[in-house]
Amino acid sequence: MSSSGEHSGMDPVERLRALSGAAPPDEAERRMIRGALERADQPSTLARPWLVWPAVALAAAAGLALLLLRTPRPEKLSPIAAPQQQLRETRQAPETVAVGPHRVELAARSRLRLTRSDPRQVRAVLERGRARFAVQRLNGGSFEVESNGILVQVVGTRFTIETTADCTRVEVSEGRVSVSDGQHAVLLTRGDERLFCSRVVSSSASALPGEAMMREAMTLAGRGELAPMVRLLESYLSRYPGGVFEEDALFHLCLARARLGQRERAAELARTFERRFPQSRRAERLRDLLSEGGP
Amino acid sequence: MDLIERCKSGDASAQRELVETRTRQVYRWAVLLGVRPREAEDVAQEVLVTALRRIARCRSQAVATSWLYQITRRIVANQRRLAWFRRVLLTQEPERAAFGHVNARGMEEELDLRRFLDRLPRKLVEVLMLMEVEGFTRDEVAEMLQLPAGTVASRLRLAREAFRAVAERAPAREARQKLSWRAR
Repeated sequence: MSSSGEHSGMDPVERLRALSGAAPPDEAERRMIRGALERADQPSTLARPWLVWPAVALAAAAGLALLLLRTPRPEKLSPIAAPQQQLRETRQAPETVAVGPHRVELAARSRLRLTRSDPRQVRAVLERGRARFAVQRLNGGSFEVESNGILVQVVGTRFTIETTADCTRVEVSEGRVSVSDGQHAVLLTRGDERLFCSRVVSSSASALPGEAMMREAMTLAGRGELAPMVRLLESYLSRYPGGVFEEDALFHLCLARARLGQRERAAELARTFERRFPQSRRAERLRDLLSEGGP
Repeated sequence: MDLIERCKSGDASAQRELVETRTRQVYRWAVLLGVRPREAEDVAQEVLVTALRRIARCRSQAVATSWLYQITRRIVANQRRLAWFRRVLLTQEPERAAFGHVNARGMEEELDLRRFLDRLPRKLVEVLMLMEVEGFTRDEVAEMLQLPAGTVASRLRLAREAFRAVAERAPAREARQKLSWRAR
């Protein structure tokens, strides 16, 4: 029996291959780079061995003291909704409810249904109105809210969802959320506000949102309209630095420049791509294409 | 001059480029070799600092990846000894994802795969990780692990079988999740 319903039937080794190119969160990566460069400038502690053994002795003594003093902590469960409180509906006044360690501010005339809740897995459906969610650190758990066929998956944040008959507005105050319609996922970060109506993604800003820009760029590529495609991809990269489609955008931009005969620009983009995504197999493809004289 | 030669000559921008282009890879190696995410950050930093300080020992750009991996192996082995010590002393940290994901399903999948890898012998994990995830060839892995190519091939076969067996035996994720009501 497969370990996961979604991957039932898929070879586990294939699933493992999907980790190829996996990267740490951006903030962690920046920390590692900064730390490595700073430390590389400092002399090695082994150059000062008189520091090492006293430090080891001190650490051992501290460890022993900690072992003797520390008592096991019982796992603490936060209060969560009881079965009879799965549905919360407000009338004239707003209400704040607790779902485990998380808080939900339900606006007036709103209805929220909890479909799953344990200390680490929360899933709710916003059936009507508006709700503001303050989600605590998940530590590997999940917090998901569904509305009008849209699924908002939390990566530790504060966000607001508002639903009407056909559309759902998602606004992120802090952190990040992933919003998907079952086929595509869009990552929203602090300050983003988007309206999702059925399968059409629109934005409160006048420009197209990232995913729609990428789809449009691919459509232009299919029609051979490379110049507008290049403009759109550059606009995406400028608007969404480090965005979820950055690798695709950079890759296709490089190809398009090469096809337009702009080989120097294409080579520069290929170098940028390789720096940003050194483990991507596309980096090798770009090198091969440019060395062969272009796609 | 290639990147390694430029680093050896003391070129600061080359050293920065080495760190920036290798951080993700080294971090990923550490995580897949069983290091927790928080410690994997320390391991990755340690590997890169060591690499910069000992850059003169890297023979060429061609063997840079193999050389980096050997540094990573040593530091991961040291870290695992320390991690055992920490587990004796401290309450175990809750599990968390090591990589960036755009949705919770991606996170869950990563945690599952890492749990499966944790159940395999270390020597099988190395070969599986280097060939199936990192995409190195058998000969490249043989060079990195200082093993005959035939040994790498047989370990890969065993690793795949063992990984599939562990994955198949694991309970379905849906079955593991249960409603747990404090009020009950």
